[in-house]
Amino acid sequence: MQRFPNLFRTITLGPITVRNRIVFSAHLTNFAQNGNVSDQHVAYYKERALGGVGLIITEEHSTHESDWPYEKMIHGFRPEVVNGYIAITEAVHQAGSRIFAQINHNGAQGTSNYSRLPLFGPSPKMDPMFREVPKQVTESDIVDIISGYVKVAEHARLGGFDGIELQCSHSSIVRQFLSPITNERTDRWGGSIENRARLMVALIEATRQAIGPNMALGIRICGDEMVEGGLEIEDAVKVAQIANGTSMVDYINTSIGIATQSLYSIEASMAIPPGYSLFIPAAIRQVVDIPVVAVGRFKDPSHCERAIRDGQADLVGVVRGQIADPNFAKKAKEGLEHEIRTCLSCNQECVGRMGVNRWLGCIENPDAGKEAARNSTVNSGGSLGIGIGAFAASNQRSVRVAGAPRRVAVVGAGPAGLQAAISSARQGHLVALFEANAEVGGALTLASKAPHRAELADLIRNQLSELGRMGVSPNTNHTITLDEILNLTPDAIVVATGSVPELPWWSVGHLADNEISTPKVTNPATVLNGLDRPTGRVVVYDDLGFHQATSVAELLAERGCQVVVVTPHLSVGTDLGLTLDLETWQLRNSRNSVRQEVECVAVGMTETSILLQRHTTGETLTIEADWVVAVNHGRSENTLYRNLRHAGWSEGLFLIGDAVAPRRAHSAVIEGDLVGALIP
Amino acid sequence: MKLLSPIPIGGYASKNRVMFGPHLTNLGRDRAPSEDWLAYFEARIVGGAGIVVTEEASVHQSDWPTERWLLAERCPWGWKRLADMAKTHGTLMIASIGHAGGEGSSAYSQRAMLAPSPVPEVDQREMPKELEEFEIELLLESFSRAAASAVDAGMNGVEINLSTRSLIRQFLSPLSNQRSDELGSDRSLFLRKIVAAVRSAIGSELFAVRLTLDEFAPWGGLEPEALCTIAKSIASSVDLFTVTSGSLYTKARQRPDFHTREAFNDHLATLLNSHLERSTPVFLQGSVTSAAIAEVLLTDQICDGVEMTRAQIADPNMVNNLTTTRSPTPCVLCNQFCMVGDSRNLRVSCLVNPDAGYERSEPEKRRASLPMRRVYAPVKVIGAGPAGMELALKLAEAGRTVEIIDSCEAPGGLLTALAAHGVGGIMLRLRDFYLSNLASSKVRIELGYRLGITELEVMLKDSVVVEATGATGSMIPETLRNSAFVRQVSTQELVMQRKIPAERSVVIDDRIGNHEAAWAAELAAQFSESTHLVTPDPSPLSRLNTGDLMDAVSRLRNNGVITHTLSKVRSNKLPSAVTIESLFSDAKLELHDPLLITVGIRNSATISPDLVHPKLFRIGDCLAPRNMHYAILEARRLADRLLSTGAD
Ligand SMILES: Cc1cc2nc3c(=O)[nH]c(=O)nc-3n(C[C@H](O)[C@H](O)[C@H](O)COP(=O)(O)O)c2cc1C
Ligand SMILES: Cc1cc2nc3c(=O)[nH]c(=O)nc-3n(C[C@H](O)[C@H](O)[C@H](O)COP(=O)(O)O)c2cc1C
Ligand code: SF4
Ligand code: SF4
Repeated sequence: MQRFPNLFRTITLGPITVRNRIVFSAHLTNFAQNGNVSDQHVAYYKERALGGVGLIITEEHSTHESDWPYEKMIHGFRPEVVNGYIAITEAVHQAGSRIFAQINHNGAQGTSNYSRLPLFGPSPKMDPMFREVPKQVTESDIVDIISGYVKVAEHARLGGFDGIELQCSHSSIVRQFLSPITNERTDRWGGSIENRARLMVALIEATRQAIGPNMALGIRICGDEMVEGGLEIEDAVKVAQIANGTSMVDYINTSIGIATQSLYSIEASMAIPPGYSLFIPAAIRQVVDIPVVAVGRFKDPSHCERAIRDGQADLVGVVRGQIADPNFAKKAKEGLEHEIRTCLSCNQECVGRMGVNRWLGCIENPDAGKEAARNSTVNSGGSLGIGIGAFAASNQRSVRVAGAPRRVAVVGAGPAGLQAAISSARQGHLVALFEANAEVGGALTLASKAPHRAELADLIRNQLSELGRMGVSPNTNHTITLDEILNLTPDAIVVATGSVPELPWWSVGHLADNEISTPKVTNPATVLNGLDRPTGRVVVYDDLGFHQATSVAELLAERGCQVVVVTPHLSVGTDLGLTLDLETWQLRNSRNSVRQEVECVAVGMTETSILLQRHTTGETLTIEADWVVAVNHGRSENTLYRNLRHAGWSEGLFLIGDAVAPRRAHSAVIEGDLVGALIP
Repeated sequence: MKLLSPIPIGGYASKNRVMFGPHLTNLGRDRAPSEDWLAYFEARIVGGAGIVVTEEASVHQSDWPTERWLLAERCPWGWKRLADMAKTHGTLMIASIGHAGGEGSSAYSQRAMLAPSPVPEVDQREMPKELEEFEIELLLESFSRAAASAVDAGMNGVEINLSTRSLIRQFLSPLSNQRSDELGSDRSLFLRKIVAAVRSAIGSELFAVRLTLDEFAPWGGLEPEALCTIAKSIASSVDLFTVTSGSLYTKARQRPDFHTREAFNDHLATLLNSHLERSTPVFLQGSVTSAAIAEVLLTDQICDGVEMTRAQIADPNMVNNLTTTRSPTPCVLCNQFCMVGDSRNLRVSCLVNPDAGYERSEPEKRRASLPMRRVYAPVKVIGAGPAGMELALKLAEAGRTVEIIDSCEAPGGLLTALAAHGVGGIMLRLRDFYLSNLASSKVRIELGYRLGITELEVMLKDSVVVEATGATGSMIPETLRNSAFVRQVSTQELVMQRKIPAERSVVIDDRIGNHEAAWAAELAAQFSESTHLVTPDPSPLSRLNTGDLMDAVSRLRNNGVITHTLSKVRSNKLPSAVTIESLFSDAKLELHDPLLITVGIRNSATISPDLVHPKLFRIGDCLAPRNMHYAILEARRLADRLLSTGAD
């Protein structure tokens, strides 16, 4: 019996029938090259279509030369795009999915840096993130904008798309017209909601005319801008009614937040509870007679099913969920939902890389963003460890054709070792996996024990579950020696032993078990695994700028410690901005009264305090503390690797993950994933 | 001029003593040169540079610091094209090759960076892998392969980088080399191996070395004497040294902005020269932007040649212009458009020369958009700022009748105003460049005349009118609209204002976070008892990406500016008061009767907002308030349109 009957019922969006309710909603990928779609786009969407998704909505296509907010944008207004469109739509159609193109003008949410033309905006008001004053569009500019949409709609029709989605939401000139924050016009395009919606209606009419009756037309609207004085749900409901009233719109997609100011709500991280945006489609569905799409942190099929069953939405957008697992829909349909490699909502490689102009990737899915490269052959130019030698293999991989299965010993069951075991087992090799600790997952398992970080552990759960299905189970509590390994007569050895904390120079002599001196010095791993339990006044000294320090600070503050986070950087949690975790952390921890001290380098300790120097002024500071948590780079634990090299191992020896250099989880997974294809 | 006199270098002679140094351009594609890349260098070769060192290329794919960073194995065709072209101009061509080691990135290669020891770079804080022996052998081979391929392609030689983003420097420095093997106990061993490998790969062709002579890390970094000794130890294999300074903790020293004095490395060049006893030519790098200063450095025998990179980004014909009556477009050391190392992959360009980096595409684009009817009518330019002056100059040099009208008593617009406040003094160079060239082109500038809309309409009868009136800074931010009593001034108005009154407290509402905010805060700190800088960002001046960030934050601190991050300014129920509010907590600070300075809030200063007319044009801030780069770009584009020989 179908476990998700509502999710797998077909639905019609105007003239288009979609096989199920799962939508791969629009999202940037940075796959575009020179303004055009690429082979990688084709491979990326095709993979999700093969994975069973009902409807794909592509990333936005720019409708006008004045709209070029980030480098790798698709210039839909250029006729050259059509051939690429055809390649995408044919691949997707062959796999049974429907595909719409999202078309958009970002208005003032952009920059002149790439286009070298003034930005367009309803009023000369700068966007809070891009910070550039746009030109207030004139009547003739508006005519220009509309004809740009028509042009792109025509390209989409010629390119074989089943429909068009007009982004009227988080990063669009249409929303800028709708929102009283950005629209201060006094002419027929400003003032009343009808006036402010005039551009949206004009675009609906013009686009519908361009695409005719055989394609679907949808709009995406913002249910709550999440900024003071901005559009709220009542406004969104009105906008939906106006759009519905044109009788030219076939569905309404939803979103929450503004891409440049409240992005943390659009692509919510694991710190925001699932279902947070469901009130939007639910409210809109009350007033329109066309299907409504819910989006936002839908990670498992039962959650999607419930939203539809309960009448909160007609379709559900699953974006990161299908970046992480392209076969999300297929697995759900076949009752294999426990096999889904769930998205962590970590935002590290998808959203995080978008923010810095890099192609989309994913922690869970090392293939994401490399779909087009996969089928090319491996050129394993004398690969030794995953140090330099493996560069020749770069991002290519292959399926091994022939050869007897090899015996592979993997040492360390953190994300790197687990992924190496998976990639080796997938190639048919015989894998033995050893872990010194009682618990697998290494540093990541510890990281997930912090408040609001639990979903990180899904990575380990997913990896273990896949390994289990292939009959591999880790030998925990097993510190393996060199001789023991060699006695296994392995063909390949993978060293994934992670890293160990290292005391910073300024704290040497202040070990936690040192009776003489207080404050006691510890590190995040030892706090998170419960071996050290700091109390009282705690200084968290952060060299890294990522979750380690903020996680521990929050944990200890919640336990009642008086916490000061000290960092040499200009702000606390510098790298949390990219993963959209900074706002929510600040919000929670200003309540926890976590103090923040920036621009300070630790220079030593006294019997009762930590000594700091503010590097921007040279002044010295002293903070009294009972405990100091030193958050710095650990040391790679690569003894086994070095001993094996010493014993003459080269071919078939791999060093991966933090054991290479302590970094982040994505490196561990990527390197582990390479191993399978490189085993000789 | 000594600057223009020849100098022997290795087995060659350079026709003059001006070098165009290596820098990131982002003009390549797929880590290889492109037609745009070639056109960029071609312009400087044609423009008269004596030595051109091309953009650094990685010797090995383990090094991929930025997306478009060149890879040596993909460069030979481009090097060859440049080398062939340079022959006809007598320019010496040198290929820069290197490896950034732990100062690169893993984002593109998706592999760990490689470095002598596990020491993270300070900004990205990512830990590199400690190089193993076999990897070091591989890198040595890559250096010699890359060097050989450059001279095979016809380049006159190669340059290796021992400055910032350099694996070789990482080996030299105790800050980054903590190895326990031979390469650690003898930190210059790696360098000597590289030098030997490169020399044997290139035979007698030019071997240039770019090296820092001060790591500016007194607690453990290399100091000038030690670095000079290292230089001396390899000097017999080297044909040319270029002196830089800075290192891991002081990257900004590589190319600081106008806050650092010009030719700031002069003492280091002197020192190196004394060590080398003039056996090898020494070129001086770092903020040499005027020929006059360069000439002094040479006649004082501080160095044998000068690297003038930004000067030639700003004016590709800088060297040739020294022999004409037209003064070169001056670099103003702003670093606003030529520093392109961040992930946005912006092309190298220039505040004052928006064609830089677009040598090929911009003329093409202008030609393509010219189907305008040719207008013979005289041109009246309203506004004597950069946009207006650039337009008038371009038109006048092409023989068109043009006049400038400005309501101010002094020409130059914001340039003059900025200069008046000291910080922007270097801007006067740009103003004087325009004024002198406008004067030699006999352009009339009418000052102190405020034009009205009716007059403008009359003018349109027999003239083309171009509004280049810039922007005003009068808009009030929405969070303050109810508070009519707050005394408010925008940074723009502050710049234009001649006198700054003393204040008890100043609140700077900074929603931009760039140099403008830094400038306003520093200025305010001088005339007020307490200065509050309020930003919604997690850190102050978060968009200051001109290399000045750490210094600017230090200046804020040392001037006693109180920063409020993740905060906003809001009007208060009490008249004449404002509240500084935290975005995330309940923290609040109420201030009575402060002067409020708003950063970057600006409005077009058009005098004819609703007028549409075929002979009326708007350019620069008047069209949409941005910056000088776009003002000059739009002036050039409009000049080309007005000068087009298109259909009548
Ligand atoms: C990397 C990334 C880029 C996005 N870009 C767009 C976009 O261009 N247009 C759009 O309408 N939504 C965009 N979104 C928002 C998604 O459509 C979706 O609303 C969001 O990811 C929440 O859904 P999820 O929790 O299933 O990932 C983007 C999301 C991500 C993760
Ligand atoms: C307290 C703590 C928090 C961490 N948080 C994260 C995180 O949020 N994201 C991440 O990618 N890595 C994080 N890491 C690092 C990864 O866990 C580490 O890179 C990964 O486990 C390395 O895999 P390996 O040990 O198998 O080589 C954290 C580490 C610690 C100790
Ligand atoms: S990178 Fe993280 S948030 Fe993004 S899709 Fe992958 S698992 Fe999900
Ligand atoms: S952008 Fe500024 S610093 Fe760079 S070359 Fe131009 S004027 Fe000089």
